[in-house]
Amino acid sequence: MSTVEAGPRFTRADPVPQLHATRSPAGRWISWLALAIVLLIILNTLLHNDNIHLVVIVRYLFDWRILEGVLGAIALALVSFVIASVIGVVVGYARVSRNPVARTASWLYVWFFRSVPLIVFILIFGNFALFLPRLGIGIPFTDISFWSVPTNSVLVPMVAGGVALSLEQGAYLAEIVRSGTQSVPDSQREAAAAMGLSTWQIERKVVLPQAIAVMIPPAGSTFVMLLKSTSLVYAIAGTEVLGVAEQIASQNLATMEMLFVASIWYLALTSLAALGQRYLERRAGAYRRRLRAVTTATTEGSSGARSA
Amino acid sequence: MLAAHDHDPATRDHPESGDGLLEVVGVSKSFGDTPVLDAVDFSLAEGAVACLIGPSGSGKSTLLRCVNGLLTPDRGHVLLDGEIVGREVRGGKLHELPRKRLLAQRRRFGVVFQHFELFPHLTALGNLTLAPLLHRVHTREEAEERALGILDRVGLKDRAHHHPGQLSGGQQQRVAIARALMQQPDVMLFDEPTSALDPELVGEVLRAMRELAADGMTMVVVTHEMRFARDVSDQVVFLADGHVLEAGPPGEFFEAPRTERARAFLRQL
Repeated sequence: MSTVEAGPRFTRADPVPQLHATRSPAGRWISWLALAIVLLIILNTLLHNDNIHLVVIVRYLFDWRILEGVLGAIALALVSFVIASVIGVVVGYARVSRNPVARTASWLYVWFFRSVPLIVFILIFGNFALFLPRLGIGIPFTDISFWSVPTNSVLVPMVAGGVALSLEQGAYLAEIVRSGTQSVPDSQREAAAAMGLSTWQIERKVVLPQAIAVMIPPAGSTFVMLLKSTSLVYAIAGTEVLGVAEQIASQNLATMEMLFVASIWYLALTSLAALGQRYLERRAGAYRRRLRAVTTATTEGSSGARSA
Repeated sequence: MLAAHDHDPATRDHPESGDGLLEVVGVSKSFGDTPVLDAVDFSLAEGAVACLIGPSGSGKSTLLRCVNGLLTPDRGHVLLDGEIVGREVRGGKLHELPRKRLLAQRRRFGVVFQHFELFPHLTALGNLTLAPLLHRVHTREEAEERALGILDRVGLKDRAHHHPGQLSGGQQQRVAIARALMQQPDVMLFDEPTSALDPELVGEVLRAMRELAADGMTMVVVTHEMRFARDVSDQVVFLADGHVLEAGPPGEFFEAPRTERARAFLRQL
């Protein structure tokens, strides 16, 4: 055991200075300077580089094909997020259902779609025709078919990508919905049940309005992730930013320049989404604090005996 | 007059059988292997107040939840005005009540919880009108008018548009009482309504409950407030380890408890 040397001891009569020393700002300035130098080095390698043609980046940044890819990515992310939200609510509630079959089925769903990488699903749905050449309605385990279409006419790249993104994000949103509804104490459900509300009314009017504040921040991050994940649809030649950029690069051979064009657009899109998320999160935070004011008010002074 | 009784008492009593409005008949309940209630019996006439008292873990709150059907007894049953709570007899067996009737029956019991359980995302008024609007018993205007009337009687009309987080514990519990009264219950159940309150806030809640009792509301109250039990109740039910050890008028119970358990319980207060 090491002993710490004791400092000088004072008596009441000893003079003690009343001024508090402030820290010198020099250290902070040196840190800022170091950061600026690192950034300058990075910029210098990018801009003063004979292998990178800035003109190409500027020319293609607003190329109509790229803009089409940007719109494609936004549409893909929005549609997938809406479908994933529906899946998330259904599967999330099934996870906490009283029905053991629903609980098992939803657990399997979440386990499966969180375990296999997204890129694998995108490739599977993009090549679905190799597995099932026709999609349709018939009687299982027989050859009877009422109606069917060629798989490739339905699962075009963007649709296949959307299906993969929705199914995968649905699994993540299901976990967010589950944790959100579980954050509302069961005693609230009991109180609502005592008022004769049905299970559906309880969830919709009592639980969800409280759970939504807990669900918004992680759901927002999920959307930002989803926006970036649309780039994976490039693997099955979808019309989104990275796919289009790669397509152009294969013609003009400006591989790096086109990747930079794609990066700039992803930076713009995700920053915008992150801003929106920040706003929602702040509102949810204020709402949550208002709700929590009750919890603290109700739990304090509850030390009295509680009967079974 | 806190609660509007919409039935004529004469039509609800069962003078031929001598049954009260509420009959708890041999109710037993276990959680897993742990028995919580063992053949609990008591009877409550319309307009009477029963206080359930006893040490922690004696099964008081479980009994309350069996009374209004939030929990189903393993054996025995509860009768409200002659109707089995939560279940019906078909083909010589007990079946769960159809959903609509079950939900309608729950509304005949108003419940007040230890931790209030107001809905934090709604104002006091919103808490009162939520269920009546969902049940479509009132238009919004009617529901709000009724709600304001009831809030006025518990002295909180000026707090109608406050959220629960902006109210003191005593005010929250009075809103909770008002919310339970909105459904015009036949019986009010209180689960330790003052246990979560700071001592100086207990009085206002007990006052509202006294007024309710004076207005003729049938009440079952789980409580540790012995003065309230002595002054207001018509009947004290003393529970220990899931058994009813004593049941009778408060005077008898407090002056001359018959069992050693009850004497020990009263001594330590």
